[in-house]
Amino acid sequence: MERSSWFNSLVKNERRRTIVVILLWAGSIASIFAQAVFQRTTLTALDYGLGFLVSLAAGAITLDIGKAVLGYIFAMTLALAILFFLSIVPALTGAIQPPGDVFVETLWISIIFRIVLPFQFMLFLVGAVIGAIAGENYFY
Amino acid sequence: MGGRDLLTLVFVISTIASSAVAGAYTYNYYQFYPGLRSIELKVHSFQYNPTNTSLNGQVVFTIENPSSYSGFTMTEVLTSYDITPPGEGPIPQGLMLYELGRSVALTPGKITSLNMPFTGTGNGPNIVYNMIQNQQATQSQFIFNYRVEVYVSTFMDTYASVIILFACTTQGTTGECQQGEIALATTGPSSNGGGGGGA
Repeated sequence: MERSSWFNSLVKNERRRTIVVILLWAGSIASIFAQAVFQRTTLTALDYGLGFLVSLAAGAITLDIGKAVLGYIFAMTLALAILFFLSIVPALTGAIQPPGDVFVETLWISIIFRIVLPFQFMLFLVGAVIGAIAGENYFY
Repeated sequence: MGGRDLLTLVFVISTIASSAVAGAYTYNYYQFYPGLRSIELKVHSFQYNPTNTSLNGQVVFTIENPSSYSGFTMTEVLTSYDITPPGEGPIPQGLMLYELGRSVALTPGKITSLNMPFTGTGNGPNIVYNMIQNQQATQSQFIFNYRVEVYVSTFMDTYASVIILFACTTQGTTGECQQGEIALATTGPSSNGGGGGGA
Protein backbone atom coordinates (compact mmCIF):
# COMPACT_ATOMS: atom_id res chain seq x y z
CA MET A 1 0.00 0.00 0.00
CA GLU A 2 1.39 3.42 -1.03
CA ARG A 3 1.49 6.25 1.49
CA SER A 4 -0.70 9.18 0.61
CA SER A 5 1.04 12.55 0.49
CA TRP A 6 -0.65 13.95 3.62
CA PHE A 7 0.23 10.89 5.63
CA ASN A 8 3.74 10.90 4.22
CA SER A 9 4.20 14.46 5.44
CA LEU A 10 3.01 13.43 8.92
CA VAL A 11 5.63 10.71 9.28
CA LYS A 12 8.32 12.21 7.08
CA ASN A 13 11.04 11.60 9.65
CA GLU A 14 11.32 10.11 13.11
CA ARG A 15 11.23 13.44 14.90
CA ARG A 16 8.05 14.52 13.12
CA ARG A 17 6.43 11.16 13.69
CA THR A 18 7.14 11.39 17.41
CA ILE A 19 5.62 14.87 17.61
CA VAL A 20 2.56 13.74 15.66
CA VAL A 21 2.11 10.70 17.90
CA ILE A 22 2.33 12.81 21.06
CA LEU A 23 -0.26 15.25 19.71
CA LEU A 24 -2.58 12.41 18.68
CA TRP A 25 -2.01 10.74 22.03
CA ALA A 26 -2.96 13.94 23.85
CA GLY A 27 -6.01 14.38 21.63
CA SER A 28 -7.17 10.82 22.21
CA ILE A 29 -6.74 10.97 25.98
CA ALA A 30 -8.44 14.37 26.14
CA SER A 31 -11.34 12.98 24.06
CA ILE A 32 -11.74 9.90 26.27
CA PHE A 33 -11.73 12.06 29.38
CA ALA A 34 -14.02 14.71 27.89
CA GLN A 35 -16.77 12.32 26.82
CA ALA A 36 -16.60 10.69 30.26
CA VAL A 37 -16.50 13.70 32.56
CA PHE A 38 -19.02 15.73 30.57
CA GLN A 39 -21.46 12.81 30.82
CA ARG A 40 -20.98 11.63 34.42
CA THR A 41 -17.71 13.10 35.85
CA THR A 42 -16.30 9.60 36.30
CA LEU A 43 -14.49 7.10 34.10
CA THR A 44 -15.94 3.67 33.38
CA ALA A 45 -14.02 0.43 32.82
CA LEU A 46 -14.49 1.00 29.07
CA ASP A 47 -12.86 4.43 29.35
CA TYR A 48 -9.92 2.93 31.25
CA GLY A 49 -9.64 0.21 28.61
CA LEU A 50 -9.70 2.67 25.72
CA GLY A 51 -7.08 4.86 27.39
CA PHE A 52 -4.89 1.82 27.97
CA LEU A 53 -5.24 0.75 24.31
CA VAL A 54 -4.40 4.25 23.07
CA SER A 55 -1.27 4.32 25.25
CA LEU A 56 -0.35 0.82 24.10
CA ALA A 57 -0.61 1.88 20.46
CA ALA A 58 1.24 5.16 21.02
CA GLY A 59 3.99 3.35 22.92
CA ALA A 60 4.31 0.82 20.10
CA ILE A 61 4.68 3.58 17.50
CA THR A 62 7.44 5.34 19.46
CA LEU A 63 9.49 2.09 19.51
CA ASP A 64 11.47 3.20 22.53
CA ILE A 65 10.68 2.99 26.24
CA GLY A 66 12.37 6.28 27.10
CA LYS A 67 10.56 8.11 24.31
CA ALA A 68 7.30 6.44 25.27
CA VAL A 69 7.56 7.52 28.92
CA LEU A 70 8.57 11.07 28.06
CA GLY A 71 5.98 11.21 25.29
CA TYR A 72 3.32 10.01 27.69
CA ILE A 73 4.16 12.72 30.20
CA PHE A 74 3.97 15.39 27.48
CA ALA A 75 0.78 13.90 26.04
CA MET A 76 -0.91 13.60 29.43
CA THR A 77 0.03 17.14 30.40
CA LEU A 78 -1.33 18.46 27.12
CA ALA A 79 -4.49 16.31 27.42
CA LEU A 80 -5.23 17.59 30.92
CA ALA A 81 -4.63 21.17 29.80
CA ILE A 82 -7.08 20.68 26.91
CA LEU A 83 -9.63 19.04 29.21
CA PHE A 84 -9.35 21.79 31.81
CA PHE A 85 -9.71 24.45 29.14
CA LEU A 86 -12.80 22.76 27.69
CA SER A 87 -14.35 22.45 31.14
CA ILE A 88 -13.91 26.11 32.05
CA VAL A 89 -14.99 27.64 28.73
CA PRO A 90 -18.42 28.51 30.24
CA ALA A 91 -16.61 30.40 33.02
CA LEU A 92 -14.37 32.19 30.53
CA THR A 93 -17.20 33.19 28.22
CA GLY A 94 -19.40 34.62 30.96
CA ALA A 95 -21.99 31.83 30.95
CA ILE A 96 -21.25 31.53 34.68
CA GLN A 97 -21.33 34.75 36.64
CA PRO A 98 -18.80 35.61 39.39
CA PRO A 99 -18.14 34.24 41.98
CA GLY A 100 -19.45 30.99 40.51
CA ASP A 101 -16.87 31.08 37.73
CA VAL A 102 -13.98 30.79 40.18
CA PHE A 103 -15.76 28.01 42.06
CA VAL A 104 -16.39 26.09 38.83
CA GLU A 105 -12.73 26.39 37.84
CA THR A 106 -11.62 25.07 41.23
CA LEU A 107 -14.21 22.31 41.07
CA TRP A 108 -12.99 21.13 37.66
CA ILE A 109 -9.35 21.12 38.79
CA SER A 110 -10.46 18.91 41.67
CA ILE A 111 -12.52 16.61 39.42
CA ILE A 112 -9.74 16.23 36.84
CA PHE A 113 -7.05 15.43 39.39
CA ARG A 114 -9.29 12.97 41.22
CA ILE A 115 -10.07 11.00 38.07
CA VAL A 116 -6.48 11.00 36.83
CA LEU A 117 -4.40 10.35 39.93
CA PRO A 118 -2.98 7.96 40.75
CA PHE A 119 -4.49 4.77 39.26
CA GLN A 120 -5.43 5.98 35.84
CA PHE A 121 -2.12 7.80 35.33
CA MET A 122 -0.18 4.65 36.20
CA LEU A 123 -2.42 2.40 34.09
CA PHE A 124 -1.86 4.46 30.94
CA LEU A 125 1.87 4.68 31.69
CA VAL A 126 2.07 0.89 31.96
CA GLY A 127 0.21 0.68 28.64
CA ALA A 128 2.78 2.98 27.03
CA VAL A 129 5.72 0.96 28.38
CA ILE A 130 4.22 -2.38 27.31
CA GLY A 131 3.45 -0.86 23.91
CA ALA A 132 7.02 0.38 23.53
CA ILE A 133 8.43 -3.04 24.44
CA ALA A 134 6.05 -4.73 21.99
CA GLY A 135 6.89 -2.16 19.30
CA GLU A 136 10.63 -2.70 19.76
CA ASN A 137 10.19 -6.43 19.29
CA TYR A 138 7.61 -6.31 16.51
CA PHE A 139 8.49 -3.31 14.33
CA TYR A 140 12.31 -3.52 14.46
CA MET B 1 3.16 0.78 4.09
CA GLY B 2 4.63 -1.09 7.04
CA GLY B 3 2.96 -2.19 10.25
CA ARG B 4 4.17 0.89 12.10
CA ASP B 5 2.75 3.20 9.44
CA LEU B 6 -0.53 1.32 9.49
CA LEU B 7 -0.74 1.65 13.27
CA THR B 8 0.00 5.38 12.97
CA LEU B 9 -2.76 5.73 10.37
CA VAL B 10 -5.22 3.87 12.63
CA PHE B 11 -4.13 6.20 15.45
CA VAL B 12 -4.88 9.26 13.30
CA ILE B 13 -8.33 7.96 12.33
CA SER B 14 -9.28 6.86 15.86
CA THR B 15 -8.20 10.22 17.29
CA ILE B 16 -10.38 12.08 14.78
CA ALA B 17 -13.33 9.78 15.56
CA SER B 18 -12.95 10.06 19.33
CA SER B 19 -12.59 13.84 19.05
CA ALA B 20 -15.89 14.00 17.19
CA VAL B 21 -17.63 11.98 19.92
CA ALA B 22 -16.04 14.09 22.65
CA GLY B 23 -17.04 17.23 20.75
CA ALA B 24 -20.70 16.23 20.90
CA TYR B 25 -20.56 15.67 24.67
CA THR B 26 -18.59 18.89 25.16
CA TYR B 27 -21.25 20.82 23.23
CA ASN B 28 -23.92 19.24 25.44
CA TYR B 29 -21.93 20.30 28.53
CA TYR B 30 -21.94 23.87 27.25
CA GLN B 31 -25.75 23.78 27.32
CA PHE B 32 -25.65 22.76 30.99
CA TYR B 33 -25.14 26.15 32.68
CA PRO B 34 -27.50 28.13 30.40
CA GLY B 35 -29.99 25.29 30.90
CA LEU B 36 -29.82 25.67 34.68
CA ARG B 37 -30.20 29.41 34.35
CA SER B 38 -33.30 29.02 32.19
CA ILE B 39 -35.31 26.80 34.57
CA GLU B 40 -38.52 28.63 35.40
CA LEU B 41 -40.75 28.46 38.45
CA LYS B 42 -44.16 30.10 38.18
CA VAL B 43 -47.13 30.59 40.47
CA HIS B 44 -49.97 28.75 38.80
CA SER B 45 -52.63 29.42 41.40
CA PHE B 46 -52.91 30.67 44.95
CA GLN B 47 -55.75 30.78 47.45
CA TYR B 48 -56.29 30.82 51.18
CA ASN B 49 -59.25 30.88 53.51
CA PRO B 50 -58.01 31.79 56.99
CA THR B 51 -59.45 30.87 60.34
CA ASN B 52 -57.93 31.85 63.67
CA THR B 53 -55.92 28.60 63.72
CA SER B 54 -55.10 27.92 60.07
CA LEU B 55 -54.58 29.78 56.85
CA ASN B 56 -56.15 26.87 54.91
CA GLY B 57 -54.07 27.88 51.94
CA GLN B 58 -52.80 26.26 48.82
CA VAL B 59 -50.25 27.47 46.32
CA VAL B 60 -49.55 25.63 43.09
CA PHE B 61 -46.17 26.24 41.46
CA THR B 62 -45.19 25.00 38.04
CA ILE B 63 -41.62 24.28 37.09
CA GLU B 64 -40.34 24.01 33.55
CA ASN B 65 -37.05 23.48 31.79
CA PRO B 66 -37.43 25.48 28.57
CA SER B 67 -33.90 24.67 27.36
CA SER B 68 -32.92 21.73 25.20
CA TYR B 69 -30.66 20.26 27.91
CA SER B 70 -32.15 17.02 29.18
CA GLY B 71 -29.95 16.03 32.12
CA PHE B 72 -31.77 17.72 35.01
CA THR B 73 -33.76 15.86 37.67
CA MET B 74 -35.55 17.57 40.53
CA THR B 75 -34.90 15.63 43.74
CA GLU B 76 -36.21 17.88 46.49
CA VAL B 77 -38.07 21.15 47.00
CA LEU B 78 -37.77 23.19 50.18
CA THR B 79 -40.04 26.17 50.59
CA SER B 80 -40.13 28.71 53.38
CA TYR B 81 -42.48 31.66 53.42
CA ASP B 82 -43.67 34.69 55.28
CA ILE B 83 -46.78 36.85 55.24
CA THR B 84 -46.67 40.61 55.00
CA PRO B 85 -49.88 42.28 56.22
CA PRO B 86 -50.59 45.74 54.77
CA GLY B 87 -48.50 48.39 56.52
CA GLU B 88 -46.67 45.89 58.72
CA GLY B 89 -43.52 43.84 58.69
CA PRO B 90 -43.31 40.24 57.50
CA ILE B 91 -44.43 37.39 59.75
CA PRO B 92 -42.16 34.36 59.20
CA GLN B 93 -44.09 31.12 58.76
CA GLY B 94 -41.19 28.68 58.53
CA LEU B 95 -40.97 25.77 56.15
CA MET B 96 -43.82 24.66 53.97
CA LEU B 97 -43.86 20.89 54.19
CA TYR B 98 -43.81 19.35 50.76
CA GLU B 99 -43.00 15.78 49.80
CA LEU B 100 -41.86 15.43 46.22
CA GLY B 101 -42.15 11.66 46.61
CA ARG B 102 -39.79 10.62 43.85
CA SER B 103 -37.29 12.42 41.69
CA VAL B 104 -38.85 14.21 38.74
CA ALA B 105 -36.97 14.58 35.47
CA LEU B 106 -37.06 18.14 34.19
CA THR B 107 -37.67 17.09 30.63
CA PRO B 108 -37.30 19.98 28.17
CA GLY B 109 -40.65 21.66 27.62
CA LYS B 110 -42.52 19.54 30.18
CA ILE B 111 -44.36 21.44 32.89
CA THR B 112 -44.45 19.90 36.37
CA SER B 113 -46.92 21.08 39.01
CA LEU B 114 -45.99 21.42 42.68
CA ASN B 115 -49.13 21.54 44.77
CA MET B 116 -48.37 22.93 48.23
CA PRO B 117 -51.04 23.26 50.91
CA PHE B 118 -50.14 25.40 53.91
CA THR B 119 -51.66 26.19 57.29
CA GLY B 120 -49.35 28.79 58.81
CA THR B 121 -47.56 28.70 62.13
CA GLY B 122 -47.49 30.66 65.39
CA ASN B 123 -49.64 33.79 65.52
CA GLY B 124 -49.66 34.13 61.74
CA PRO B 125 -53.11 32.67 61.01
CA ASN B 126 -54.65 34.45 63.96
CA ILE B 127 -53.21 37.84 62.95
CA VAL B 128 -54.42 37.44 59.38
CA TYR B 129 -57.84 36.23 60.46
CA ASN B 130 -58.36 39.04 62.98
CA MET B 131 -57.24 41.76 60.56
CA ILE B 132 -59.72 40.49 57.98
CA GLN B 133 -62.51 40.07 60.54
CA ASN B 134 -61.89 43.56 61.94
CA GLN B 135 -61.82 44.94 58.40
CA GLN B 136 -58.33 46.31 58.89
CA ALA B 137 -57.36 44.60 55.66
CA THR B 138 -58.86 42.58 52.87
CA GLN B 139 -57.67 39.11 52.02
CA SER B 140 -56.07 40.28 48.79
CA GLN B 141 -53.90 42.84 50.61
CA PHE B 142 -51.75 40.24 52.32
CA ILE B 143 -48.52 39.52 50.50
CA PHE B 144 -47.03 36.03 50.71
CA ASN B 145 -43.30 35.77 50.03
CA TYR B 146 -41.78 32.37 49.29
CA ARG B 147 -38.20 31.22 49.11
CA VAL B 148 -38.15 28.05 47.06
CA GLU B 149 -35.03 25.89 46.92
CA VAL B 150 -35.10 23.37 44.09
CA TYR B 151 -32.48 20.61 44.44
CA VAL B 152 -31.39 19.41 41.03
CA SER B 153 -29.58 16.18 40.27
CA THR B 154 -27.10 16.56 37.39
CA PHE B 155 -24.16 14.75 35.82
CA MET B 156 -21.97 16.46 38.45
CA ASP B 157 -23.66 14.71 41.39
CA THR B 158 -20.51 12.80 42.32
CA TYR B 159 -18.68 16.06 43.00
CA ALA B 160 -21.23 18.85 43.35
CA SER B 161 -24.88 19.32 44.15
CA VAL B 162 -26.94 22.02 42.48
CA ILE B 163 -29.61 24.10 44.21
CA ILE B 164 -31.63 26.71 42.33
CA LEU B 165 -33.15 29.41 44.48
CA PHE B 166 -36.37 31.20 43.56
CA ALA B 167 -38.08 34.13 45.24
CA CYS B 168 -41.84 34.16 44.69
CA THR B 169 -44.52 36.58 45.76
CA THR B 170 -48.27 36.08 45.75
CA GLN B 171 -50.99 38.57 46.40
CA GLY B 172 -54.68 38.09 45.79
CA THR B 173 -54.90 35.09 43.49
CA THR B 174 -51.81 35.68 41.39
CA GLY B 175 -48.08 35.74 41.87
CA GLU B 176 -44.73 35.67 40.23
CA CYS B 177 -41.31 34.13 40.75
CA GLN B 178 -37.79 35.18 39.99
CA GLN B 179 -34.78 32.93 39.83
CA GLY B 180 -32.16 33.92 42.36
CA GLU B 181 -28.72 32.42 42.55
CA ILE B 182 -27.76 28.92 41.55
CA ALA B 183 -25.78 27.35 44.36
CA LEU B 184 -23.15 24.73 43.65
CA ALA B 185 -21.81 22.84 46.64
CA THR B 186 -19.10 20.23 46.64
CA THR B 187 -20.21 16.75 47.62
CA GLY B 188 -17.08 14.73 46.82
CA PRO B 189 -15.75 12.11 49.25
CA SER B 190 -12.89 14.28 50.50
CA SER B 191 -14.85 17.50 50.88
CA ASN B 192 -15.58 18.78 54.36
CA GLY B 193 -19.16 19.86 54.23
CA GLY B 194 -18.71 21.45 50.88
CA GLY B 195 -17.71 24.80 49.59
CA GLY B 196 -20.04 26.60 47.33
CA GLY B 197 -20.50 29.25 44.76
CA GLY B 198 -23.21 30.80 42.73
CA ALA B 199 -23.25 29.94 39.04
